[in-house]
Formats: sequence, structure tokens, C-alpha cells
Amino acid sequence: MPPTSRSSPVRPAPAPAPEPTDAEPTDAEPTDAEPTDAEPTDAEPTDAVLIAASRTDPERFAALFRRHAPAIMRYTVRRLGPDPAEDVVAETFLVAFGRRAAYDPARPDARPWLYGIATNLIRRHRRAEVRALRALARGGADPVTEPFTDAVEDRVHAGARSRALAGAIAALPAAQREVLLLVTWAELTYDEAAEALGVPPGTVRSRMNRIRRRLRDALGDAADPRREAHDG
Amino acid sequence: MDELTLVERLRSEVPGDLDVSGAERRWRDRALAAPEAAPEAAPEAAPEAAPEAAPARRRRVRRPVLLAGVAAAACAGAVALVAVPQGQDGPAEPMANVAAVLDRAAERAAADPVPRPGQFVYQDLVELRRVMNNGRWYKDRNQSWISVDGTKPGFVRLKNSIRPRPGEHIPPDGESVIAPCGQGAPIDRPYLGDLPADPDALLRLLARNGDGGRAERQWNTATDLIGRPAPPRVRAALFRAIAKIRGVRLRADSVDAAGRHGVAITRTQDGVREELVFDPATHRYLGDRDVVTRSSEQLGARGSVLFASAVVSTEIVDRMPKPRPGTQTDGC
Repeated sequence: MPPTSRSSPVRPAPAPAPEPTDAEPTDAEPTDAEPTDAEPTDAEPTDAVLIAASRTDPERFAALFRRHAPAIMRYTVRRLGPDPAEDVVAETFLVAFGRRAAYDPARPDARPWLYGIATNLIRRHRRAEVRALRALARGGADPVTEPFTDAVEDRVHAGARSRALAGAIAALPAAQREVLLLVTWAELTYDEAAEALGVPPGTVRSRMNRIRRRLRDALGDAADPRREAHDG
Repeated sequence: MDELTLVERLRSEVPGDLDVSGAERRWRDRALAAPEAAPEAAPEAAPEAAPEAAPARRRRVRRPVLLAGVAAAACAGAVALVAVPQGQDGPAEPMANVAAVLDRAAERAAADPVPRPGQFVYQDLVELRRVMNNGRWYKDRNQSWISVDGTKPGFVRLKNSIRPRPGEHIPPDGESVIAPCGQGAPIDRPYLGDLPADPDALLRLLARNGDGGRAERQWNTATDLIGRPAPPRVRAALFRAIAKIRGVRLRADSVDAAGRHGVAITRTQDGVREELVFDPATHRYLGDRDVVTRSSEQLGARGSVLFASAVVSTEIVDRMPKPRPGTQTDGC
């Protein structure tokens, strides 16, 4: 089993909800442009705090965008290539913005929510995604990564293991592929992936077990941990 | 090496500092620049206009695996539609309440024939959509052949009423084979053969999927499932379960994508009323429709229709069409 708490560099520190600032009578004049919902100044506000604040000040949502859009963009590009990714990311935040009033303030980290929305949007491109993976599996150029390998000589043709892996991922049912890539590429924990997909955590665990078995089958003994243990 | 580590390395050459300014601009233009509540008189629904802007906020997220492929890649239609008929306050047979309507629908559904293992359910579904959610209207037709026991492949044929013009993107016409689904979670399968036939058990299951509040999760999941073939007992339970979801209302008149009027079971969330349309005489489920209840830049004027579907026919058949050589096969 992989560690179930993979941490992400973009994850905000889970800070507590801000203290209510009401009962502090001070004789000082309020400074002009300071926000009144004072947050701890030494810690970044949590996603939940930003989302709550954006209900009255929509501009605050932009901070959520800046915090998470780069990682969601990379995740989307890895699945679909650069072409539809900008669309998907813009629309992910548009949908999230429209639903911000329904966000559960008890969840400081909005990544599962955002990745859940992105996953639903990415699903519209399922055929293109599978087509690209199959191209990679056949040993051709990967249409997803091609734009990022600028010089022809830099292009490393995918090794046999990558090809086998791409073929196996292409062959997974969409629901399993989503779980796998949320856990490995989006670096969500099993619990977070479950939240993103709206399924019980046990479902993610059992799906992952099936997926790993299928991937091992596809890879042959190249990925056999016992072999690695013996051979060093 | 661990297989998950290999997956992590796959396509890791995609850089982490991708430019998101374009996405941010598009998000800002549509989220922040738009007034939260547009004036009532604002947009005359101009269905022919095909703005090249990104697709509007998508309401209908078809969670099920099969329907993601089927509905998103959907279907055939013969008639280009310029405007969707708006629901008029026509004379509908008065029905006492939500529970009465759904109870009769359940009784009707429970009397349907039960397919045998090895058979297929053929469904002919028509949908009205807008190009990229805010462009011109079109109709699609989605014919599907779904294996009842999940051991055989399925088949989907999709045809649109229009051809996309430059800059327009719609799910393409075509045929595809769906790989046998086997025994995934019952709620993920295209044929709902193993869902509980008890309304309360079903309600608990509905609440375990999707996001939002409990009632919202139940409703969203129920409306996802309602378009999928199911055994009569499950279908009956689904209707009875819907009757118990908080916030569900009755509306005297609605109309499906085929123009058939009926009574509607509705629930309103996020400024959109989702309507499940039932035939007032036969109590059959006809289709569904989404109507804006709060004017906004994103969704348009109050009363605008966003989407409609119609189940034109459902039949039990022994086989699916023979796929042409080279037909694409999709995962379940």
C-alpha cells in the first residue's frame, strides 16, 4: 500500500478558522482599507476561509485560483494535453465559483472539491484521452507531452514499461483511471480522492487494489516488488 | 519498481509552471465581471448566436461511466431546432402531490417486462443541447444497446442534427462498442441490475454519491440514474425514493425534448429548476429538462431552457448491431 498521506507542495497549511474579532473594543480608529475579517497574519488563510470570504467579496476567490490553478493545470495537461486544458481549468473555477455558497467550511483544503469538478469536466474528453494513451502505448509520439519536448533529438522515446503502462491505463474503466490519476498525478490521499469522486473511501481503496493488480499484470515482472527485493 | 511510482513518472516532463493567465482571464471575465444577478430584461435568448467564448458553466454532469461516454459523446437527430418550446400553463390532470405522481409512476414501471440475463436493453434517447452550452441549439440522438448482465459488450450510436461550424465543438457523431462492464460497483454499471429495490436503501445509496447537501446529492444521483436502464423493481424503487428527497416539488406542466407535455417532479438548486417529466395519463417517465429560475450572465434569463431530454423508446432485445470493422471500443 502506498502512504495514504501524500502531501502536496501547494497544499495550504490547515490553519484554524479565524477568531471572531467582534468583542475587541479599541479606541483606535479603524484603518481605512483593512479587511475586517482579520485572518492570522502569519499564516495563509485556508481555502475554506477564502471561499467563505468570497461570498461577500468575490475577488477573494482569485486567491484560491492563484493557489490551485497551476497544479490543476498541470494535472489536466498530463491527462489531455495543453489544448483543452485552459478551458477545463477556467471552467473548473467557474463552476466552483458558482457553487461557493455550498462549500463545506469544515474542509480547510479545497483540493478534493476542485479536483472533483475538474474530473467531471475532463471526463468529456475521454475519447481523446484514451486515443493519446494508445498512441503512446504503440510507441508513437505522445501527443500530450510532444509540445514540451522542443528539440527532436530531446525526444526520448518511451521505454517498454511506459508503453505497457500507458496501454494499461487506457484500458482501465474511466472510473478506475480517475482514481489512479487523482492519487498519483494529483497527489490526493485515498480519502481525498474519495471526496473528489463522491464515493466512499473504501471504494477508492478497493479500486486501487484492482488497478494495481491490473497494472502489475500489464507490466509483467518488471514491476514485481519481490524481484526488486531479490535483485537489489 | 512500484507500479504507482511508474505511473507518477509517466508524463512527468509536463512542467509545473504552466501559464495559467489565459485561464484566469477567462475565469475572471465570466465570474467576476458578470453581475451576480442580471436584470430581468437582460438577454433575449438568441439561440442562433454561437459565441466563441468557452462553454458556460455546465449543469449536467453525468457521473456514470457509461453515460459520460454516451451522453457526452451523444447522438443523432434529424431536425435542427431553433427554439425550445417553453412550458405553457397547459391543462394537466391535477395530481394531488409528489408522492401520488411518483407512486403511480412506480406502479407503472414495476409492471414492465423483466429482461433475461444475456439480453440487451435498447434505448433511444433524444437530447436538446446548445453548442458549447451557450451557442446554437441542436438535437442529438443517442441509441444504446446495453448488456443486462454486463458480460457482453454494449453498443452506442450517436448522431447530431447539425454539423459543427469552424470554432464550434460538439461531441462527434459515430458508433462505439463499450467493453463488457463486468462487476464494478452496481451504481457505476450501465444496467442498474444490482441496485437495491427498496426505496430507503436506495436513498442511502444515493446520498453516498456526488457533492453538496444530502438532498442535493440524492437528487443529483437519482437524476443521473433515471436515464439508465434498470430492472422494473429498481426503477419503481427509484421513483419512490425520489418522492422522499427533501425539496422535491410538483409542477403542473412541463415538456420533454420530444415536445411531449407532462407533469413534472422538480427540484431547484443554484438557480436552476430540474424537471423530471411524467406522462399524466400513462405515468411513464418521459424525459427531463433544466430551466433557469434566477437570471444571470452565465445561465441566461429566468425561464430559459438549458437542456432537455426525451426517452423515445426502451425495448428488450436479444442482440446488438454488428459493429463495423475498426469501430472504436471504449472502456466500460
